[in-house]
Amino acid sequence: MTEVKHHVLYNELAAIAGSKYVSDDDFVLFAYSRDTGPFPGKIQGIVARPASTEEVVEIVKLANRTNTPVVPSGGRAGIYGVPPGSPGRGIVVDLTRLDKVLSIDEDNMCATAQAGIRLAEFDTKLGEKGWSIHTAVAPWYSDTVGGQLSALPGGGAGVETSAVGWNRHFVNGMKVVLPTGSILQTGTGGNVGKNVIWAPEFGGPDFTPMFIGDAGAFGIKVEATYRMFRAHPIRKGGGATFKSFEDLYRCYRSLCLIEPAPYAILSAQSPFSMKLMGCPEEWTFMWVAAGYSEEEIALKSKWVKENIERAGGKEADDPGVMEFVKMQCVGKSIAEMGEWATPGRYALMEVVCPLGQLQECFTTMASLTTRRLEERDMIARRHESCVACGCNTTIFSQYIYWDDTDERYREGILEINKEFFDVAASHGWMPDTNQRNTCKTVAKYWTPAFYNYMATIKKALDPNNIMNPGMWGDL
Amino acid sequence: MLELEKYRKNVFACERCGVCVYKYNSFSTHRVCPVLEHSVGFEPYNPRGRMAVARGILEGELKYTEALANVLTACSTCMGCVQQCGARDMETGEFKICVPEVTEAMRADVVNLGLAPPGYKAIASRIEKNRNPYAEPNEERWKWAEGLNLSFDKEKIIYYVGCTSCYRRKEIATDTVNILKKLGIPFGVVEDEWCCGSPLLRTGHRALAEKMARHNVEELKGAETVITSCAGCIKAFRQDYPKMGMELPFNAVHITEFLGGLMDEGKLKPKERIAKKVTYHDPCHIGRHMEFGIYDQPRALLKAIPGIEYKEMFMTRENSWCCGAGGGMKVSNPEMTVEIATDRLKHAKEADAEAIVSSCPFCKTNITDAVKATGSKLEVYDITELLAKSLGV
Repeated sequence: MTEVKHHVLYNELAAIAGSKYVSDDDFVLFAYSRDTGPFPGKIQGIVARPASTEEVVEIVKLANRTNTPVVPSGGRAGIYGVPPGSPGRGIVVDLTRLDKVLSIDEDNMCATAQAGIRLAEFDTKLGEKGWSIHTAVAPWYSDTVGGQLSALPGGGAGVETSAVGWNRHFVNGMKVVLPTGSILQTGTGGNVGKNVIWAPEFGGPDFTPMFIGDAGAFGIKVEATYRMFRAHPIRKGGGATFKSFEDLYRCYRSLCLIEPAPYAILSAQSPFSMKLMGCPEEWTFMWVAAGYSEEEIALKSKWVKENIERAGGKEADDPGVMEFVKMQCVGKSIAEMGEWATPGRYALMEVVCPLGQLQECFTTMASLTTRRLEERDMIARRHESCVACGCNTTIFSQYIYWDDTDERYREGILEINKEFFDVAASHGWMPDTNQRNTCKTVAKYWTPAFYNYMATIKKALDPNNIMNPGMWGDL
Repeated sequence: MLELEKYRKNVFACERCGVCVYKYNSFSTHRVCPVLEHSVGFEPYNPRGRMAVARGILEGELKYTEALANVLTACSTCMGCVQQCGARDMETGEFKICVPEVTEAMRADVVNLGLAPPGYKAIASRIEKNRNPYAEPNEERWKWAEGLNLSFDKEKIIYYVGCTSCYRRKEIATDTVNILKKLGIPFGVVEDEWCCGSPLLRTGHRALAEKMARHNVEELKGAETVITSCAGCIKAFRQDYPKMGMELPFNAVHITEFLGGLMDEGKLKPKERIAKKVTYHDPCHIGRHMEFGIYDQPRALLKAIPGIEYKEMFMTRENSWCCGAGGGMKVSNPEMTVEIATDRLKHAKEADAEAIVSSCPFCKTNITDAVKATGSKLEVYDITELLAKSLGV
């Protein structure tokens, strides 16, 4: 019988997490080697599934002692490539066994969960008590708390992002296992006399934002505390069509000026995208209002509609548009969204730009993609849209649906993807994810001073550079 | 050529987004994959991870091994993942990322490469020898029917009893026969009934499954309607046989469809009172696996029984939580199947039910095993048992 040759740390990791929860089988490693995107995989050396903060600490200490790179793993719904780690050697730390809601503190309006819980599950448990937290709208069902706070700048944009901006505003604190194995509680948890993590600003400088969008390079998040709000039971919305992008933008901007925002979501779709959804080929604007009573929704809706009218928009009554609005209001499974949402493999490219540059960003990025697809003679379905995030920021999104069995397409998509973010970053428009390939592009455009600052922090936190090394350029 | 090669398009279409693991709808979720919940939980134990492994094999990055073969057994092929994914082929409208089919293709490869786990080998050898997966003598298939005066003649309506009802859940077979007789339905059975082939297909023994299928179709020729008790049998007839190139010369219906139709026509009227709070467990094979899931008829039949207080439990119909027994799991991962069925007991208890009713003998077996393992007080029935009682037979 052939003796199985295990990873050099197999026995130590098995002693920490239990042998059941450690694997170096090739097929297990392979399944952890890619995210949802088209990028080539990185196969690490071993996977461990710890069940507690203590186990995470021990794994990190072991990695430090042996100079072995650690790749934290959450819901695995990234889109721009998995961390490089150290192929054949690195430890993937799958955090999805840390999946408990630890507290729902209704008096202090905050809830704490372990970092490996899926946001959807966390939010559902809060919903059972009438509460909610701001989490990313998608992939709400597969992202974990830790994954989202690490890989999405600002902690992502949620279902009410147009009104409230980025989720970071609602993260009270985090418990992080630092790369040396020590534990840091950010937020008011820094005060030994407090056991409620109720606001991040007090008890010393707020280190919470430093770990949000760090791409997992500064430590492993094991817990996070969010500020809760009473869930909005009513969500209603509508659509409007405009003759030109300029008209639509006028409406979009006039609504962004209102504070507090009467809407939860504002989004715009190009004629191209509307055609893909089987709707009239027009510039289309969609909005959703969320609230506690019909009266509140009626008032908010009236306000939005007045702005639409002033900008020359026509209220949309196309069933396809209304179906899309409904989807934004109540949520729908992919199966229920219809054909346009389900052609299979897609490459999603998203950048964030300031409101004043939305038109330029939309035109530049959409035409770049169109041109490159045409040049390569790649017939692909596309979908392009933008969503307001807070009043002065907008996400421009582009989906390209492609055939992954065709090598030519895969190569083409990778090239377009690279150029897309390069062009965006050169304009100052940033990817809305901090994942392998977007981090690389972002780091390329840092000033030397910013690079040095980052390098200093990274060195101080992670002297042996074991925590997700190589995520930010050569850091 | 690998069987998996036939599914290249499907495998490469998977986005690996993970919606197959958590239900996404209406701002609430629940977990979807029972195996993921009760296994060690590494990626290959969830649908997305299995698709990734399939892709690794097709790309030549991975090879089938005994260790991988063992992990591939951990899928009840319940289709919960497919239901949540929802990605459909734009031209055919069929599910594009059909994880159970891909899993079964990989199992077929494993069998063809001589890497089948012992449990799989045992199933094949028992069925090949005895025409049933329980290693029972084939000549004793009709032992349960002694005294029931069954017709072995070529009737227009044939009751295809199935191995589980013949050998393990004889009460279902007996009650079904008694119901049909009570309702005055002229029917027969085929003396040389063989396993429908479903357990073979689920565990990768495609050639042997085809042998079973061809024999059964030949034996059933002349029938207009074939009724099954078993959800697995009806899936085999309706879906698997045509995929093996056999057009059915008869209409295959599940007992709940048949009895539901009679009730609609006013020919079936449950009379005896059964004072019980019951809930219904949807078998995957007559639910998600069907083009139009059989969800309404069983519920309508149950609700028609006087005294029944019907309770709907968590995760039903197309979102039903599998009992855990399907896909060859009962033989390859027996402990996990009982753990999964225990979840169903919890759901039934939360719904305040005294009894859990299903319409599949294999579901009944597995849920009963969970009751025994946990000491639960929950009663477990097949729908035919309650109907028989209410019809006074």
